[in-house]
Amino acid sequence: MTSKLTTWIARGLLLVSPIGFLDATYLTLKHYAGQTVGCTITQGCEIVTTSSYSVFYGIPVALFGVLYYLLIVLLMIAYVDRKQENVIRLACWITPVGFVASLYFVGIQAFVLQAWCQYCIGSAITSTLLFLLGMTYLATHKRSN
Amino acid sequence: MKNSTKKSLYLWGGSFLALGLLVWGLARMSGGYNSGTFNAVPLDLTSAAEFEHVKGPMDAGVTIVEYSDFQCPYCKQAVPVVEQILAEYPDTVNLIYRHYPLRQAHAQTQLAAEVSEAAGRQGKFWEMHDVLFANQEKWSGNLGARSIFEAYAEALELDVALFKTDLQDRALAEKVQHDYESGNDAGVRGTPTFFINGVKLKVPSYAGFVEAINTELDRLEEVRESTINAGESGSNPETVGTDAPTAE
Repeated sequence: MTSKLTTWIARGLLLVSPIGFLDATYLTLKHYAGQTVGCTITQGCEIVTTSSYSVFYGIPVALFGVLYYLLIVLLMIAYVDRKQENVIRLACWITPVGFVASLYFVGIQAFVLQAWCQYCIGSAITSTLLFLLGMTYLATHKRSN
Repeated sequence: MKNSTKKSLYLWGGSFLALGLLVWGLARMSGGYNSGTFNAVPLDLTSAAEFEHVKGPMDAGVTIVEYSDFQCPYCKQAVPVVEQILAEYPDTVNLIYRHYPLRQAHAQTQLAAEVSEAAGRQGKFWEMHDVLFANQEKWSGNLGARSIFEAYAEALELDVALFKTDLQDRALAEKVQHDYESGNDAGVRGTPTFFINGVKLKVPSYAGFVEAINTELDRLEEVRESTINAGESGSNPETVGTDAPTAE
């Protein structure tokens, strides 16, 4: 069953996940280039992106973001390809992971670092959008089989 | 080929191509990916002499170039060692300080480097250098580091208003970056890294310094003798060494 709502949710996921992917990729590239990220909107990009919270066991957290968004992107392409409900369902079930991670990082920026990095906020917005889309899908599509 | 298979192929191929192109564009836009390989370019002491920070006699035969990070504990430990060396060789050794901020690991190091440069504009680079290292644990990891640094500027009797204005100047960050890149070119990978007349010091201990400096002094002496013997009356005895920096 592909209702109108499903189509819109799929389009939403397909549109938002590449944005998150590019955002995280940008931060990861900057990290490995050893460059500080300049802020144009917020203040404190260099504080956030060079803080100890930006690295997890030597791996930049942005790289986890890249993998997370890439997974969603791939699942959504697979969904467009095969139109299998299980695939979009799986993508939706993954979205809370990104959402919880974003909550954590927003918390770090707000309460620990008290500095904001626009690219990190961008990622928080995209992961929240993915989460909302995912939850809407799951709420409206109870497993029928 | 079945139509649906063909469609899938186009879909996946197109998607990967699009993603790849976007990432490639991003990498280009963001200044490229630095693979981390360093060129073994010999250290040129004269190139940036006009804005180097030099301690000790300008005409010293041996120059120590230090690549350091104000927030790095080992750099702090190296300070008294280098001081001792400079005291030991008051006429023959000088020191150049260059920034090699490990920004991924040290959140305040870039600002600290710029702070030292701002102090340097008022002629107190080394004073700020000493204060920053002496109080390293007070400002490291401290998000209020900026106000702490301003207090140091005041304690050093700098013009604090000018100091704050100077800190806004991108030129300071560019100077720090220039140092950093020269370090990359010279093969610096961590801090502190020392060069004795352009040769990387293997053991940065007091004994290691003494050995490397004595070896270099002996070599300079040999060069001097051979030029005198060759009848050139020692007009330029340090031909193999480097010219001492002349400014700061």
